[in-house]
Amino acid sequence: MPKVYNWQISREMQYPYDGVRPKRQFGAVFNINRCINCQTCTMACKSTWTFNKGQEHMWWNNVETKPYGGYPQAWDVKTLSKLGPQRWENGTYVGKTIFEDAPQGAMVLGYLPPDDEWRHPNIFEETPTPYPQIDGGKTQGWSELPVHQTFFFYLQRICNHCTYPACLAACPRKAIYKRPEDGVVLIDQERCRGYRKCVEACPYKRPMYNPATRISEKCIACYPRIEQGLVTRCIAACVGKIRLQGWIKPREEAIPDSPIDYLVHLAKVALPLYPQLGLEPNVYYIPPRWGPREYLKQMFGPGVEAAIEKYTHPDHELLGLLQLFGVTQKIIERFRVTDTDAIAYDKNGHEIIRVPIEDPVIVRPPQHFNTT
Amino acid sequence: MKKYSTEMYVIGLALLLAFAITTLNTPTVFPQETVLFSKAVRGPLPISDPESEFWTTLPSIQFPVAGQNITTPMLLGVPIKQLTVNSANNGTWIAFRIEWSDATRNVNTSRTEAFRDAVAIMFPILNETKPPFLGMGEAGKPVNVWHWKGDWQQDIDTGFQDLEHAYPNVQVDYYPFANTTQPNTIPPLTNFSVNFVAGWAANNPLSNPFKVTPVEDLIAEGFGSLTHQTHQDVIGKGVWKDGRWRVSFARPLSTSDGSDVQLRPGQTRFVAFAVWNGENSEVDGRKSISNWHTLQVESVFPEEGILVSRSLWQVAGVGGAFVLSVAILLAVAHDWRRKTRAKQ
Ligand code: SF4
Ligand code: SF4
Ligand code: SF4
Repeated sequence: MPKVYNWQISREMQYPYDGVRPKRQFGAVFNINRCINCQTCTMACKSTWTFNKGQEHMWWNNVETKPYGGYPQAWDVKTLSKLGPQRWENGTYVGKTIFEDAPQGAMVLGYLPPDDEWRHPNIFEETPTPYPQIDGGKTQGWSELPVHQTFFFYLQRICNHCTYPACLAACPRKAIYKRPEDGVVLIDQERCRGYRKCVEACPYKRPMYNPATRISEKCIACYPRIEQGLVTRCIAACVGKIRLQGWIKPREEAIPDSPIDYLVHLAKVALPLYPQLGLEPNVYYIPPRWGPREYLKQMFGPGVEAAIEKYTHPDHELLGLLQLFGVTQKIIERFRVTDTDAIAYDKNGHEIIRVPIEDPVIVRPPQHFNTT
Repeated sequence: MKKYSTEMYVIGLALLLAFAITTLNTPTVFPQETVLFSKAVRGPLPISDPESEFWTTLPSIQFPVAGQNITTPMLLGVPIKQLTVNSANNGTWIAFRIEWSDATRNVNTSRTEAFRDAVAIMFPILNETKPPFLGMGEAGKPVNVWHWKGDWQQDIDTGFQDLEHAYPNVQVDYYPFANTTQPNTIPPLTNFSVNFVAGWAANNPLSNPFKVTPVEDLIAEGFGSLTHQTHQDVIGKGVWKDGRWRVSFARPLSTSDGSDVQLRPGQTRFVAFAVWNGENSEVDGRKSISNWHTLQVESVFPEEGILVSRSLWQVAGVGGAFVLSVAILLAVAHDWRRKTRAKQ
């Protein structure tokens, strides 16, 4: 099996195909700290792509409440327990990926969630979780920082358009492909024969089986919008302005004024979801400040402490870039932060939008005190 | 520290070997090759009746099949099964009947975890002395696959199995662009709304709710290259009773389609079989397969071959009878084609 380099785990790993990176790779950063769980993103996707027969159970975008929420139910816990305890050593993952731990006769370590696990996207999640063991029980209140004794947070999920997709690796028909122009991973609806190997293999459980067409479907990264320079529906619709879309390079080739590269590679404030699984997923998360660190490390890898520290005390440039989340429907290719403003540019270098880093305080004159 | 003795190494090695042999599964390929004789008969073949007494009058061959372990995804750890196969031809059509035991009837694939029972026959398209790679042919050496599917059979027998079959209480407010009221069954959609049933709009034969035959006619040049043919020429029928599937396949011996195997009476060709047990989530390469075997298509008129040694008047007499029988046969075959078409 060929070896490919996965920068998220700082090592080479086994993958069934050669590591050819696309010309550009779709990437996004989701700021968990700001999500209000309104599910506007979820409905934006549903009303655009999955409103027809056979798609009733499909939520290509979903927001689940951790630690108990999961769509399909317990997707991450199930995969993690199949993989068993694994280790990171000084920023390098020394455990096994799902490709390296594939059972005999299969490409990937996975499981096929039965239909009842897809039915209730938000079941069992309204359960706050006490973590009295945190800080050795020293923390008394439940909402004190740095870590809440009783915690929950929202996890926003779409397909990660992985650099090393497990869905693609597992499809014996090669009906799944990664577009060279933007790294978007798609299931060819003409070639798919409903084997559900992708549903079984993707640890994030993003391919879903359509019982009416008897083949599988998945998030398409709203490619007709990307082709026009627009951000995806779920990103454009986000009420909490927690999402930013752009392009991501591997760490060694990071472009400093590309917003996603800056957040992921330079500021290192945004982290991949379950990098240890080995897919190099391309949606990155700013971890929630109040989450128990051990739990977050399992989810986002060893960069958690540094990312939270950086997010809690951002420098001027990071603060500026954070203002550009959710302010435009256009894909921001480059950004610049001045003393007062954050400026976004399109691929031709034209300014898309300019936002103040600090909103000016305007005091209402006395004669308008009562106007509503 | 005590050093291990040579004996210990030998024992260890033997144990390791034993472990490897038992866990790595037995090889798929059976050394013995069996000849399947397609008996020549006159008149119509009971193509749409896999339970007909007719099949029991034919020579029957048992083909062992074992889990596919040449490429991933593999089917490991299933016991070797047997397919019982008969074949007959009437000079125009060739028919097969495959029978195997399967305790469960899996004919609905609506649930994410539900897979169908299926069986397939494979022929090399080129008539060469050596068969191509058993893994569904190889580049430049295509195979023709006739794939019968339990769910397609059920769709034909009882109508398209829509969402309501798996979920009788399914309730939806409405589907945009569908011109139906509840329960919004799939086929009666407007032409426009078909665009929102992605697989169907992309012309994926699996997503088309209107099934004409339970047997898909396919071409392949190796693993992963299976492709639905533009011309679908194979018909058939499967019936499950008392823990046994009986499935018939039929096709004209020759077709005008370059993607099909062309069979001629008197000819010997390679043939292989595969079977899937839906209950065990068998799908794609997770199947049980046979080795390549030989198919011998018996000629309806075996005396043809010795005609030259007879006197001229005998030749003329037999020749006349031959022309007459061909005419009758063609008429019968034509009638059969019409009947089977009408049924669909
Ligand atoms: S998240 Fe899953 S479906 Fe999406 S590209 Fe990665 S492996 Fe494939
Ligand atoms: S990117 Fe588009 S298709 Fe994917 S989840 Fe978001 S809205 Fe849905
Ligand atoms: S729209 Fe934005 S804020 Fe609302 S749930 Fe989705 S990600 Fe969170």
